Amino acid sequence: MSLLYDLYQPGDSWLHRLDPRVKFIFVLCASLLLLLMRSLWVMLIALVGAQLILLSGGISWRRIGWVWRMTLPTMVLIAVLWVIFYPGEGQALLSWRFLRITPYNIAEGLAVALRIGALAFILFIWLFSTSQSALIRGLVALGLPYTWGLTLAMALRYLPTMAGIFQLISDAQRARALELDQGNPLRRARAHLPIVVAMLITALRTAQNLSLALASRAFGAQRKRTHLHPLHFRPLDGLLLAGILLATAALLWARLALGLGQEPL
Amino acid sequence: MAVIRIEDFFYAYPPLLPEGQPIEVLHGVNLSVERGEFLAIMGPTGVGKTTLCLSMNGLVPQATGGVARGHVVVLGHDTRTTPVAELATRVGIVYQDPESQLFCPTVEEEVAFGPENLGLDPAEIAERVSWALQVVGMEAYRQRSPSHLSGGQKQRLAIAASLAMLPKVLILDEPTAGLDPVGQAEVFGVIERLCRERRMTIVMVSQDAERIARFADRLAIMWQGRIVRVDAPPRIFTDQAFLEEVGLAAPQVSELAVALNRRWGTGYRFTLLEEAEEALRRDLRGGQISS
Amino acid sequence: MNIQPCIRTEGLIYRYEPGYPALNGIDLEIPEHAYLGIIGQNGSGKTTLVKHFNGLLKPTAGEVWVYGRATSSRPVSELARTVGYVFQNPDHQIFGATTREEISFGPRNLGLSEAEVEERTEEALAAFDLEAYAELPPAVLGFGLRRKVSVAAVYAMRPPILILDEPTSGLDWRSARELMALVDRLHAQGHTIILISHDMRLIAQHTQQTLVLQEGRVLLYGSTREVFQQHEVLQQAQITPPQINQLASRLADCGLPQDVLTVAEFCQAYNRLKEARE
Repeated sequence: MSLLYDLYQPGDSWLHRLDPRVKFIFVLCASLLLLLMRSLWVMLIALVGAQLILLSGGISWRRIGWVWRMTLPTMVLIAVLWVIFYPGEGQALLSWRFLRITPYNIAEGLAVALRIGALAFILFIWLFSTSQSALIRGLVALGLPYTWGLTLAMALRYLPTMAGIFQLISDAQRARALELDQGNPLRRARAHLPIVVAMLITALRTAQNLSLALASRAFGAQRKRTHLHPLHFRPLDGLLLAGILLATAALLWARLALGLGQEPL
Repeated sequence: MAVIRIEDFFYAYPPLLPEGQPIEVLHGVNLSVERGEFLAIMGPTGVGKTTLCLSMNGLVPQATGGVARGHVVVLGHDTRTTPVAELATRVGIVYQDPESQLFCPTVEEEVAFGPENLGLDPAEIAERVSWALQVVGMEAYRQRSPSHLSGGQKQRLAIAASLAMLPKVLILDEPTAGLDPVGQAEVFGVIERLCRERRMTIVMVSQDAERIARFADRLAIMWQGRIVRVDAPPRIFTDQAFLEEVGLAAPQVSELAVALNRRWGTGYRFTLLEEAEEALRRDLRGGQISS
Repeated sequence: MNIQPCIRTEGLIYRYEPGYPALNGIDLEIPEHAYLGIIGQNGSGKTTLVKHFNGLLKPTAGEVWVYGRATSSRPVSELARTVGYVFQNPDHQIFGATTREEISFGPRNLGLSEAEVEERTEEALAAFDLEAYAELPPAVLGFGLRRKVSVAAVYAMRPPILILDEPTSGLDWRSARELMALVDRLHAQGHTIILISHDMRLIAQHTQQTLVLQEGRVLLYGSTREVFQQHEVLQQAQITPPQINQLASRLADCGLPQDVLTVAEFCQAYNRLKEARE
């Protein structure tokens, strides 16, 4: 689906205007805290909070629904498996052979499942509200080498193109009576060989042309690169960043020193 | 004054296999391009047209390796020794395949890419982006993804991305091959504007005889690694023996002129539809009036 | 005259995604042994239409019949025996270690005997004058040769219907002329040829019927001679007829016929006018 290639939802909300570096640091801090905690309540708060942030940032229901569709099956699966395979402590609600279901392990399973959802939504706060180039510029500003950033950007740019070419090449070979879905898995894998080889040749040609195109637009000029839209670190960004760092430090202390959110319930 | 001067330029690509022979492509090219002229290059596939284009912005031999002899001098700079990134501010180039020369997520970033590499001030970059997009008529597409544009729009964008470097010379290597008629007309519209309104020096490889006849000042014919003839398009397009030898097509009206000359001993040399119409109408009507 | 249609479509609609259809109700009969040109701007549905002829796409609504059998339930690999399809970019099909291997790929997929595969491969190499390159990897050949290999590889499958998508794009005039001479020969041998191209000169010179598509619908369909007389209708699809045809139409007041397709035809008509006068 096309959403996969183009996560960014253009907009001008407070979330969009936020410096991409601040959003990235928020993702890192929030993920760290979620991974350290196991409390069902913390996960619920994080999940609801992430939804509120997305909605206040003008992210469409369609995109939010898309994340739910992607994560919900995994979340349900994990919750069920957890309850089955990690026998709980305390009073059992149900006990049969190795199965031992307690309020504790239900809460634990739910917390682990909700954590997956919360992590996904927090990541998508960043991805949905940040254009591809701002995203990469943010990473470069935080220390990623520019050539890596450019490579990443081009990989994202050519993903749909290459998917399209893959489709074209499979069509061309199928038109020559190549059968892709007959026989055992080994035979099927072998049937894909003509497609993979043609794909590689095409990718090599594209890469070669691309390197010429880059060079003919002064890529690698021995000067410091500038940007059409430089990142602006506004006072609000500073304020938020300070808030994020302080809150993270406080919660980290509370978790490590006071055991906040250590238990599922 | 010659903007581009190519003297006895030989070039061979490095061998494909380590023990192989270098692949000779250019066998002594001589060519000069004057300031403000529109020079078209025609030639069969595989005679070295793309290689010649790449030699004018230094990618041949600087990026491709291989062996080069002779000189390619652009605005006083030898392209074998001047860094490609520096030449890029003097020579813009547009390639045949639109897909592999547009690599940015949005149209405006595509145009900004070159100026950004030069480390220009953001205000200056913004100004160049707006100007270049306006020249090719693509301002309305700023935030679009280049991969969602039509073929003609992609090539116009590639032209804008070159123009943003404020080059003195624009080289176009078959920019309309593979475009549909609407796309071809769009791209030629932009090129015509660049040469009429801005007197930009343009070198264009193309197989489109009818449009070359209409727009180009001179036509160079490339054949087996050399420029074998440079002349006004009408002189070349009505020299059927020569075209047959190098395997190229003339506009249909020029073919007609040759056929009519053979039958009626006339001296027609038209290359444009309007010229042919006027001459033949005079001929057919004139006969009637006098009789 | 009773010529069986080899391809027939009825109410053919195709959507890539929900929304505006890429093909919007195509009713078409292509007679056996036709030499059909398909023209129209990019996005008009040319490629989408022909992909229905060999089953790569199945109709969203309506039906397509090839030799009287509906394509909707037939796999591409089976239709490939009847309908050959040469894609626009030869690099999208070339993968073989040698040209010979590349050409034998299709016949081998058809499940023919080794002797038959070899016979067809050698015949295709000879027909396309590719013997000298038989042992070379096709990917390193020049573009003109790669194009020839891609056509030969489909030709070797001996399909009665042959679709060529922009076969001359990227070729110079002489290579294009040589390739089209081969295609003309295949037509003379009894193949049905379907040619997609943006080159109106090529269409006018070679095809007998022309189909003009616009926004997924049939704008014009008839003999090439009739189609290129419809200047106003063609203009709707932003198609400019070949220069020689335009010249004849501009000189209509001098008595030139309006159905001129080639320089030779123009000359004949012009000479007749002049001779009548003298």
